Amino acid sequence: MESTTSVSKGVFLFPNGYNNGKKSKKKSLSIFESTFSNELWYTSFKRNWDAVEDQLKILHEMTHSVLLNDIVSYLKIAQQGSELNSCDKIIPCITLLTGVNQPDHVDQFKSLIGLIREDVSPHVVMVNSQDAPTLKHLVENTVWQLVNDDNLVDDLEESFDESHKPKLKKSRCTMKTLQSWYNDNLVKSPKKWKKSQHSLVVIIPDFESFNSNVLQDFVMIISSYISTLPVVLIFGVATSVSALHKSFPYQVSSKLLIKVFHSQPSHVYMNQVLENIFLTHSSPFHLSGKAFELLTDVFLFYDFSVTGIIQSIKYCMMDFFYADNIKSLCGDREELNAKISKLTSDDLENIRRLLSFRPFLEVQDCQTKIGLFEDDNFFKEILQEELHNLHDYLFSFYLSLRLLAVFVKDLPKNVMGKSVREIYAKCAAEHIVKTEAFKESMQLINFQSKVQLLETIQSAIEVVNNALQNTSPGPLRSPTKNMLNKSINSLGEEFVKNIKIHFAIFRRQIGNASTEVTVQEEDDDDFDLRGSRYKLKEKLLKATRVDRVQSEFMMIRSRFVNYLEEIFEKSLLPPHTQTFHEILFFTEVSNVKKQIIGAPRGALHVALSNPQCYLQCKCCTLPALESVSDTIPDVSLAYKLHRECGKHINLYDWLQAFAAILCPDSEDPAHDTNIQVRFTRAVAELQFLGFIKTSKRKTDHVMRLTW
Amino acid sequence: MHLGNNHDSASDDSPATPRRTVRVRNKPKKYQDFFEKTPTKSRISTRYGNVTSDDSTDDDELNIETLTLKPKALFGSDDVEGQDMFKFKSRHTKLDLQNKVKEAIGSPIPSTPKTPKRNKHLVTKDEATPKQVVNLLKKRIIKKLESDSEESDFSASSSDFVPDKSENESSSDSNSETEAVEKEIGPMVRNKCHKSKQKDSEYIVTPDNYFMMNSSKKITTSDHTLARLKNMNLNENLKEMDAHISKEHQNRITDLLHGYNELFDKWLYVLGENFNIILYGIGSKREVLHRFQIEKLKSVPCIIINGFFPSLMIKNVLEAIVVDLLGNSHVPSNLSDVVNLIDSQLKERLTDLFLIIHNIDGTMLRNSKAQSTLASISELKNVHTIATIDHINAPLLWDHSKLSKYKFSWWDITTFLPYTEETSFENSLMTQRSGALQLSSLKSVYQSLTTNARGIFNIIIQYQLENQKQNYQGLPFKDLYSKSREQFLVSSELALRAQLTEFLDHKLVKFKRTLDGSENLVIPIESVLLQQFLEQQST
Repeated sequence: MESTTSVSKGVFLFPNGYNNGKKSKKKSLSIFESTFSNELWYTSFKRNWDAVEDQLKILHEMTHSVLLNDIVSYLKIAQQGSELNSCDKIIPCITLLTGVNQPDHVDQFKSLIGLIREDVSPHVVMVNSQDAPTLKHLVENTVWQLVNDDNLVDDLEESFDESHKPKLKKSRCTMKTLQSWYNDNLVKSPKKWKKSQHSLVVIIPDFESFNSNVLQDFVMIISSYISTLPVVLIFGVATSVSALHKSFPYQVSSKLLIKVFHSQPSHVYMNQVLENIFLTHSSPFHLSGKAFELLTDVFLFYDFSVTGIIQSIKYCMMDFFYADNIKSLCGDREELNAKISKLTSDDLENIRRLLSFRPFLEVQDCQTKIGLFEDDNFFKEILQEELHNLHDYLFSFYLSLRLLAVFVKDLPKNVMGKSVREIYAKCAAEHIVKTEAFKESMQLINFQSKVQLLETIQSAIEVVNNALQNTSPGPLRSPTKNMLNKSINSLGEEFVKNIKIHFAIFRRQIGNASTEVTVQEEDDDDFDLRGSRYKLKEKLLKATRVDRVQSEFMMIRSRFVNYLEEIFEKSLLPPHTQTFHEILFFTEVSNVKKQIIGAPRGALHVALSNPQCYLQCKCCTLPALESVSDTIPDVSLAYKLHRECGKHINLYDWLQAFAAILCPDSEDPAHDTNIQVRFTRAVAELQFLGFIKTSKRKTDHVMRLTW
Repeated sequence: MHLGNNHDSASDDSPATPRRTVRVRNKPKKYQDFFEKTPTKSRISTRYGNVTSDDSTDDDELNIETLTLKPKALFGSDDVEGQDMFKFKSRHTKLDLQNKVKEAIGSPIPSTPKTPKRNKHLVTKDEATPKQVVNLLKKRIIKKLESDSEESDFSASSSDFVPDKSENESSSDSNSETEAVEKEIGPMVRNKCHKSKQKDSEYIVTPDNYFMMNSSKKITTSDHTLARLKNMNLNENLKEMDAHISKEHQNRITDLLHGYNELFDKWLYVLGENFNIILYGIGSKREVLHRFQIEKLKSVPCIIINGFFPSLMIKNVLEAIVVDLLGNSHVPSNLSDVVNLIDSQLKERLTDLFLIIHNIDGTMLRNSKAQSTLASISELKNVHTIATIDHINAPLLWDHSKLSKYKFSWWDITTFLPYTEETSFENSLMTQRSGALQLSSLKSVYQSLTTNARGIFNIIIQYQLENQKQNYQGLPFKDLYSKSREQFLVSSELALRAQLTEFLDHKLVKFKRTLDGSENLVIPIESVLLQQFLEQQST
């Protein structure tokens, strides 16, 4: 360790056999691959995560495509109109309101660039604020990227042999260079480039981070060139359009023809990601209610970043798979049997130890119990069976979840929440049918009008159809004549088909049902009510006593609600009631919570005020958090004493107190050099930790930096 | 978190910090006002309870919205209580420390949970304390009272101090009285909470307290200085002495470290998935990281960065990567160019680079440029960063976008090992106060001066020592000139200025401009040190 301490150097390099000169020809495995690639869980994690990433990519393109296509089509229009604007020196400008979740924007702009390259113009540049602190840098960067664009070298005439030409130096990149480059390459060689492909797109992704003067000047410069250089600006604005207007005075903003586009709010995108990728039966692993709540809380209360939540989910998944071969059972259902056969007896032993196996075991008879423990093959069979059941359960669980979401979505007050994720969090935590909110929602459905109910049933049927379409065709599993199988056979695809039929019937019945209340009572009270309040009262009282006669619709409706309750009761059992749910559900949220949202200050505080918490020693038992003893570490003692002081701390008094606690019997402990050194060290460490700093206000005083 | 990530929720009545007022006082009016005005969540919830029966209105909906927008899983019962950490202690008296000491040595580890605030209880227990301790304390208090005459703004109590045992009581009484203000907060908040049973409405920042604490300009501490210690010469002793850790603790720390060894494989796994690792918790984490490097990173290029190194530049880090490791001739000036270069070269050579940053919150890395550079490099797929933080405000370094680049996973690695290396540089309080470095640099500069220049410097020192007071304005240039002329040290103002440039360059002297425009000369070194310096020169 001594090699990394020096009074003249702060950075130490350990090449560790890294050879700079020659490239190693053979593909050497990276350190990670060589460490983990032999592990079953690692490969299975890799495979599953890659699958998720692919899905994410598709979803990402899908969600952004509408907006990006809008932008691109606007760009095309702007190109055609550019001749009109150029005489007024007006730059076409797109303002994209991106929202505050900046980490997500990178991807969005990347796909935008790709799309523009394809459809509008190959000349696209993106300049980040960190690369352009001044106008000079901004212009240089823009021009350099445009002129030296690698993508163009191939596209332009090969005979030109541009690759031999040295790249332009940055310092020589000015607007003039750009103009001559533009004239040389694009105007004079029009055979490949249609006139409309000439526009140069400059993207400024983080408008707010730029110095507004720099941007003002930049806009003014471009506007003076606009007659010869068809530039289009794209600003990514995180806050609101007013940011643009605030930072540009009239003479600048009058040069811009601004068109505003709104990108999707990040929470909508998050809901999409969660619903389409993670809250499906095909998701490789499933988050328990608590874990799910934690991640959505981090999103909603800290960063609003979809990238962030995806990374957190990835972290959960990593933790879930880490060093646990039985997790390899996650993933595609088709491969389940093959995966089970790969398990070693150690892995099987681990599965037997799962908590959820116990209730399952208890209901078995003695013979089966012995079989489960003694015979690995028999156990594998059962495991396979149960896991298929679990998958069936998942399928109907997520379907019912979506159905429930459809039904409660339009209810007043939103007792259950609006989105699928909110309802999932509730369902995963407890048996939803038993909650007040569920009962209330069912009651509310019981008050819905015919039209509305028909609509919701219709959309529910669509949900069911979608779910059925997405499942793989053909039988999911061969029917086995197992005893255990029959009892739970009610879930899965059959169950869903059943729902579909029932819904269709209900829809027809409700559609046909009349809403008329068949009146039984004869209206014989047509007499004049005027002036006789008493009689009116009498009549109303009587009306209340008469049993409310239900219409046909009402009866069917209540039957329908009963049916809903029935299916939800069956299918929305919380995951933790299922056998072997640990294999597919991530439950150890407390493990990852600390690593996803660290609590450095809390850890410091705990360690200093109660060292025993970490040290687990016998000597430091403190009666209260604030009390001190002579055994606790010096820094902790100094910390506790300093908490008794005000803003300024007299070092001498502090030392006295410190010394008196350490050596209560000594006559003058503060003069003991040993104590002095210990105290000084403790004080220096507190300063290093940021609790105190030196103060010039009074001799030998330090200032406290905390309250 | 993010963003500081102090997820330390406040919780219900904290049994760990029971505060009892000795005298019941009315709540300060301001505080009550404040509380009424604060839209705490508890009130929303009670309102919500009422309106559910009514028909829904917009207002109603709004309430529900606020209700549902409560973090459900962010805060757990095992979190540290925010009140513990961030609570204002509005008034401090010089006796707080003494009470603490008294409590500690007076009743060594009492069986009943006792807090230092129960002063009365404590004093009555004094009988039980050993005689010698009482005497000792008495002596100390007397000494203290004699020496500080004017401190503290509690004139009533400090004026009639009698060095007696009964005095103990009165002083602590007055002490508790002053704390009564602050103690109101505890019960108030707690009461509110019992009603609402809500965890997060518990901790309320009370801005009034902050101003109360900071309003008095006067420093209400005693006037003791370290000069009272005759043998305060730490320089020699410090280096030799090992940090004091008891046997028991040493064993426990070893256990802790062994526990952390188990994590290495997981760290590697986490790093491999493109997360970076940050370690926090008290105690030097260098040893843990060192072992990680030895055990796991033997075959891959590593760069170790001492963030606590006082003259570390971010340029050094980039040079180490770009020039020393990758063999380029120079570092591009533009950040994104550097990042692209590193990225492409590492990818091309299929190499993973590990950055081990001790104290990423070090002084020289605190600027946003350094952090954004590190963040951009750490973001790369082939670069893996393990960093440590120690400063309590370290998480404030990173904003949203930096955090998302870093992709930290946080690990509590509390070691309780001494920060020997981290605090060994001259910016730490320890060495600064002993002033050895300043003194020796002063000496060496002084020796290189001409006799005349030395004379001038002596004049400034002497003037400064003679005119010591709270805010020393410095020696006016005119006076210096006349004094120097008297001693035939200089002949013209210009010559004096030429001499002074030498001092200015070495920062031995500073120019200070006064309100009337004249220039004053100040030596930015403490007078004790100057005295010491003079003594050494004369011998």
